[in-house]
Amino acid sequence: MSDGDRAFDALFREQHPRLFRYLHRLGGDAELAADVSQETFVRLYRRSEPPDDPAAWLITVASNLFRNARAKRSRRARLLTPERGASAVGDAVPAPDAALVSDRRRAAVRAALETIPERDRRILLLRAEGYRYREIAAALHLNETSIGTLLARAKRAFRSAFGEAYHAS
Amino acid sequence: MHLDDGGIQALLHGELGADAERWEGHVERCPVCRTRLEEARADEAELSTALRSLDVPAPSLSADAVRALARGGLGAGPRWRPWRVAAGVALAIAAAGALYALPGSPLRRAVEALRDSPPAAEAPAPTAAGHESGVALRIGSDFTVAFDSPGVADTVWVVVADDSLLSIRADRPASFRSRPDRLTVSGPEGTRYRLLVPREAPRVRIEADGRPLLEVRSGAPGPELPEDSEGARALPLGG
Repeated sequence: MSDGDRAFDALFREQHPRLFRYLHRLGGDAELAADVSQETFVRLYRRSEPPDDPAAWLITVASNLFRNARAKRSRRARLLTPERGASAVGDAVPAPDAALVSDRRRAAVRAALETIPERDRRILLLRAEGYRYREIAAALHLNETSIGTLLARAKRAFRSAFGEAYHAS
Repeated sequence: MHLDDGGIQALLHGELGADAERWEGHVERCPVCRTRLEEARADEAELSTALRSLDVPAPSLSADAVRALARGGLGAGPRWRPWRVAAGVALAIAAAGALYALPGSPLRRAVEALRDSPPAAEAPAPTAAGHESGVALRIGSDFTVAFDSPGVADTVWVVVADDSLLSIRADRPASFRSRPDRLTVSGPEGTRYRLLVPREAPRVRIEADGRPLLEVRSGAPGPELPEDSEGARALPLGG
């Protein structure tokens, strides 16, 4: 295995799970998230040179692919979960009441994400995946120094939307 | 002077850069900022819990699989090296067939289909990021790739690869059904396929509508099909 392949493997192991998770949280569609995250890494591998900032490159490309793919699938868009397989393998089966609360909470989280402005949603979810401000700024074409402020605003918007969605359900 | 909202977030995330030490010292002395930082930390933990409630397991995809897809794609660009196509993604089925969806295929459905061990697993569908489609699978000692009702202009380029998986990619949305000894492929009129056959596979047969077209034995497709400059052999499927 070449040094390049080893580097690619390491990057893949580190970045693929978080990219998938980010896309899934962003759109609520695991199938789409899997397709887009895979295609993003295919495109990364096809590059003749690695990007200067691989994490930012991955988010940027994935976001573009995601936007295009989601537009095509808009007729299938689902605003609310739950979807099949939403709980991890091995989770204990919750009691009926607990399951109800859990489903209600999950639906409220999804609804809140769909309610807040797209930029807020992306900043919130990218930071939740541990992306650095520099990477978020590069991917969303923002000024790095404004990320903290935008993040605080996005959290407020989410908290408010979540409260409304939860109590409305 | 207190930290503003953005500063609190930046401090929480270790993003204050050269100012970090100064502000950390300030927060130690300032009860207002300390309280706000603690609230921000608690808020972040709550948000994290909320978001985790949405999560599903990530698909089992390997870097090897991505490399295979990148190298095997039709029109893949400068990195396309037909004789060096590596293995693809694989989800092993115990004895032989394993089906794995390439870009645009419903991965989760494929996984579920495999887990339930049906006689065939669908892996079709338009892609998320284009119109190509394909599968990669681990095959047994005797395997058939069958093209179902190919159009007159359909062609498959057969490439023998130093790889452990058989993979096929179509330049249009095609459907793929697998059994341990057989892969059935169906695509729209005019589809071009690139089939990568593992060099070590003892026997791979290619059929179109039940007609035997080609047999590859231990990496040797036979002399009747001349290979092009890239080592691919064009095999018309129609007629």
